[in-house]
Amino acid sequence: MARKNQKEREPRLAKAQTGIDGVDEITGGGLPRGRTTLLAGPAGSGKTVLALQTLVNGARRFDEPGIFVAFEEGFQQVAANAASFGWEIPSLVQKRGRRSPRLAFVDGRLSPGAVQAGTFDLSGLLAAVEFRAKEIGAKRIVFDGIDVLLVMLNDPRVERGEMCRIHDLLERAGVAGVVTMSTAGLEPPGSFMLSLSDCIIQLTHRLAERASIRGFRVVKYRGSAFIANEFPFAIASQGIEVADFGTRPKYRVFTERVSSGIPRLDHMLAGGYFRGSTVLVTGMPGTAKTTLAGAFVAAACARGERALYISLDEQPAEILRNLASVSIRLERYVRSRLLEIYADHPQETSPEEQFVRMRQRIRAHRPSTLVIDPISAAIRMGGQSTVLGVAERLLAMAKSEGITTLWTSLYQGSEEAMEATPLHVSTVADTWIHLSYRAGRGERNRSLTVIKSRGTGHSHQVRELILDDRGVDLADVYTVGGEALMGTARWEGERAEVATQRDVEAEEARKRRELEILAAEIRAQTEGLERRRESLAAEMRLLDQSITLRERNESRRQQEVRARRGGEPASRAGRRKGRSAPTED
Amino acid sequence: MGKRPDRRESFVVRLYVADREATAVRAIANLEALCREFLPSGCELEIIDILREPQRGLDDSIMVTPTLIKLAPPPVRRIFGDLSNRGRLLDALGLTGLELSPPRP
Repeated sequence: MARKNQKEREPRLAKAQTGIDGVDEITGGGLPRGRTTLLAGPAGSGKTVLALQTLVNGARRFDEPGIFVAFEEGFQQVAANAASFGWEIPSLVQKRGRRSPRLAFVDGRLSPGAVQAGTFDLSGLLAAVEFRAKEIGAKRIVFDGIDVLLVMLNDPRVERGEMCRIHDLLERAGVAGVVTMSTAGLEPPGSFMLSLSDCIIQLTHRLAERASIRGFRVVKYRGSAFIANEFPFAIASQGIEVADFGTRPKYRVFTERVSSGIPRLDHMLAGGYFRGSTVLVTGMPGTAKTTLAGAFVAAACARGERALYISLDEQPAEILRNLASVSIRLERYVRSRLLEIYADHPQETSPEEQFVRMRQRIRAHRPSTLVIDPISAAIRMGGQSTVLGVAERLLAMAKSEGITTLWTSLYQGSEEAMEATPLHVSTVADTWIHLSYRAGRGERNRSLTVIKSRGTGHSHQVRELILDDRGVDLADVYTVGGEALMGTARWEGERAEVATQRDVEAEEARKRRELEILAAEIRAQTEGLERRRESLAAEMRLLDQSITLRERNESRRQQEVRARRGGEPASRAGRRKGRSAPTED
Repeated sequence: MGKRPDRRESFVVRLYVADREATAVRAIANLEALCREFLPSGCELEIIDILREPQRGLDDSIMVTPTLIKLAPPPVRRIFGDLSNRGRLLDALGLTGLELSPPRP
């Protein structure tokens, strides 16, 4: 019976959507109704913002009126804070004609100058809250800053009693109750509140390499599944956003190719980048990473697709000017709003906030093509692992929306150490192009290598990247004694090509024969093994037959023995036994 | 009881309580005793049950109960608790110095 009740209750646990990106996913649908959710965290960790945002979203988007009970701040302060996120509290607390307001504010602060003379309780406040809740039909109630109240009560017994009453009130009213509490950790005096609460969310705030890192974690959620990991979040211009909620986004896999903007590169990649894939372009300063990005964007816009270019170092005007010098003209696309160039300054904000801003831009512009140039600039602020996490999430988001993303990363080290550089997120990238300089014979030439390209039979050969006022192109390079030739040397090498062509063909034919022989050998081995397996199976069948036969004989013999011992006269049995004994052995 | 200076102004207080809770009963008893001893000329006392009249509690921003508001004579003062701490209560009501008997616990 108990199990049945449990089963019945679980799916019935009603939840109030917070409407906050990520939070609803992590909590499996929002905060519990008729129960108490405790938001705990140190001062400045975003508790009030989260609580207020839940109320405002409820009022504005889900038609669920709410009450904000403030122990710490007055109405003016709360309204001013909310206004900085674009939440118009004053208009929400006003009556709408004959309808009751969508939000009510109850000041839970003691009047300044009030004198305490003896013991007291919170009946007054709770009565007021309950009255207002009925009046406006509240579905959500926030008690903000209960720690202030606890300090005031200053008596563990009274504290427990009052917390129980708050909890009971929330349950009785059937509202999604949120209580915020400032804590250094999760410890007394709030410990009783912890056991009383049905859902506990812990917010953290710390500094990592001078960048602020905010964490969101569901510690407990009675009767509901939730994701227990800590998730980074940002307090952005429109409130809290939990950047990632751990679920792997499902994304469409495209077989369509989109042009890189450079015909010869498309050819190298068997037609271009896959739509919805991630392209990483690494290279030293000045190796034309931005040019490659620009060519890609220009190609997308030429097809009439929307593109977003996020620049993390140069200003839009600089990018436009520099690209125009190699005949990549993007001004017209910027004018027609097909292309948006957005410059952000990584050093001013934390990676999380940047992520949220970029995501907002992506959502607002809805591009099919996205460029981030260069992601390595983000590392100037914030830990490498944080930037990496942000980059991965951004890519996952782009992928889930079918956006083809090209991002560049500055690379200064040697080519050998490149694979180990985590910021490149080389594992995330579907295509990885590396640009470098090759110097020799008094020239310095740019080269391009496709290091990897998933799902594409690409060429691993190095190509020379040629930039001039006519545009961008690639040229083959020739290796002599293991050295790639470019520029003038390439021209010389070109003439030698015809001669070596035959050698190459012969070598290929030899290689192919070698492989054919190997394949035939394996085929023969496989057949031999198969024959061996068949003969083993036949042997086993024979063995099984003889076992069955023997068992049948044995049971017949035992029946006979039983029949002789039990059912027949002793003399006859003895006689027959005497006679048959030798044969039985 | 000793002689008190004459209090000309009318003494107006409002006491918010919750139903008949123990704190409410004590607060009312303490307040009435105080009125008898210190305000022989009488005082205007209004007792409001916040559970019956929540709107009034909201109007006066009553957070905790019991809460006593001294409306007159000015200044307006708020005192919360069951009024068992007589010293503080007298102080807050501006009746200090009038007290001649030792405070009751």
